[in-house]
Amino acid sequence: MTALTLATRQNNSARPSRPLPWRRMVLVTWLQHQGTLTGVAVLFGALAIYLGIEGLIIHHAWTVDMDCLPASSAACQAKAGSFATQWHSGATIASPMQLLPALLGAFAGAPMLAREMETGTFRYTWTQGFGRSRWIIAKLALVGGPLAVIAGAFGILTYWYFGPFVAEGQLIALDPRTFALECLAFPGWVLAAFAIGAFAGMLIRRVVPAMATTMAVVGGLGLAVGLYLRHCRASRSMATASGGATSQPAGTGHSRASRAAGCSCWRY
Amino acid sequence: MNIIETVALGKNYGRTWALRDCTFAIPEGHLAALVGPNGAGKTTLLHLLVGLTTAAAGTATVLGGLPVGSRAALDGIAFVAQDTPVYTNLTAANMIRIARNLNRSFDLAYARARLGELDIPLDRKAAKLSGGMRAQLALTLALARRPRLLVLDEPLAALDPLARHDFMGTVLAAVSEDGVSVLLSSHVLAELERVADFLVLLTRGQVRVAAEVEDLVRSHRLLTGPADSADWIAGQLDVVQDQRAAAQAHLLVRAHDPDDPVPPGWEAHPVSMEELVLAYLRSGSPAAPAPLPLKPTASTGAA
Repeated sequence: MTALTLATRQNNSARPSRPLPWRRMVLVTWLQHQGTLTGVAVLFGALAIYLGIEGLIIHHAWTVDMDCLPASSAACQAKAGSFATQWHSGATIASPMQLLPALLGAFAGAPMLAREMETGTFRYTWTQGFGRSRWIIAKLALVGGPLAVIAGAFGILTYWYFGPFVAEGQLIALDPRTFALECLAFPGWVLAAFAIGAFAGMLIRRVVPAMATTMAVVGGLGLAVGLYLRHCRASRSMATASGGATSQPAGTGHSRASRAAGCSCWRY
Repeated sequence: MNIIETVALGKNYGRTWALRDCTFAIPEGHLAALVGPNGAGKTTLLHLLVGLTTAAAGTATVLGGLPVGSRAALDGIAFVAQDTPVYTNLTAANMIRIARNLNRSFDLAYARARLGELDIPLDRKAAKLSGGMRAQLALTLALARRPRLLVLDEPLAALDPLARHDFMGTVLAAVSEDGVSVLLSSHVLAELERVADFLVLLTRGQVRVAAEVEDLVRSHRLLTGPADSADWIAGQLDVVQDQRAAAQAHLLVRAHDPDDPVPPGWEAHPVSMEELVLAYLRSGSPAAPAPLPLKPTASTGAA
């Protein structure tokens, strides 16, 4: 043991000034947050499987509708009507999914720092050689990053899933129910909720109150944006009514081609 | 080299000052005890020294002139906080992995061997360890970093006598084998008297005493003599504690020279570190060392 001791003491006295490499935080973060990360993966995995299977069925039904020619014939109109009736509830899944960002903010974001403060372990972690600022940055990046990637993939999936409903006029562009779930808006919301959660945890220093605050703040923001979108839509439709010659009628006017233009993706 | 040095260090929380104008130095190689009543600012001082809080006034340096909280300071100081926090949902093995990754040097062999000696199973979650084992785990993780300075905040408070003894045994082994300097805050005066060779005494946010125990004990003595000449004696000497009974007075005095002659009719007794600490704790703020009413000086027991 003496030899070992001497060796490390010499290392110590050399006192290298370079900071410890960032990659060291990967294992640390995984050991501490594997529960959170696994939970998020399972939640989104289950949702993705459901939306994927349901989406395939819906898309199939919709394609059959679209391929019906001539579109104005009575038979095709009846088919389109039956799509609307059959998948009447298809878009209702959007409503519970509105809660996803708030839930992620509360369960993944809020405990990140609040738990350290509440249990006092910050006094251990922040006095280690890695340094506290870098520790916080690494933690937030290593949990927030995967969250954003998963949410991004999920946003593309929901965009694809809701496509037929928009095309069939059951959902409209900028619909408050789906706007926050699609494409870049969804990872944006998730990251914002995560950041709000982490910040609330740092300020409040207790896990459960921080989670509740995060839910309230993210939920409030979601409502506000929903109301704003409703307002937007109202003014837009007024503008369209007064002078829009080129405006597309809501509903079947959206072509598959315009949706296929990609996930740049706002349906303006 | 001074392992800790502060100049006019101060820290306020709102309008109250937890620490004011603290100037002291601890040379390397000591096991220093930080004592003081509750709310004296011990934890604030320790948190300042390990970089968990920033000073509102003055400066503090560690490990021979490094600014507190700097990367090199973090590398060389291990801190075991109050209630020895560890991640209770992690096993000892995973705590070791985390500590290894968060530090430049980590003596894995030492950590494993030490936990083995202590019968702490590596695969058990910290939540299921006893308080003593958890404290030992925290201490082992700290010592395996091979720090130059080990800072311990009330490590003994939650431990039973046997666990206290074992915990201090580990600390003392590190001091003797590795030459690590230690700063330890505690209420357990009896335990400190056995191990500490440097004393920092804090009351109401101010440092009253910062000196080697040996020097302190040598430079203080308890004078016992007739009460009617006590005022005259007290005027001549630096009195820490003045206890008077009907006929007899006990004056704990700080002598400038240990060989000062004893006044006629008086007797001088040496004092123990514990008596000294209690006397200073009782004697109030340094600005107005008002003598407090007589209480029999306890020979044992914690403050």
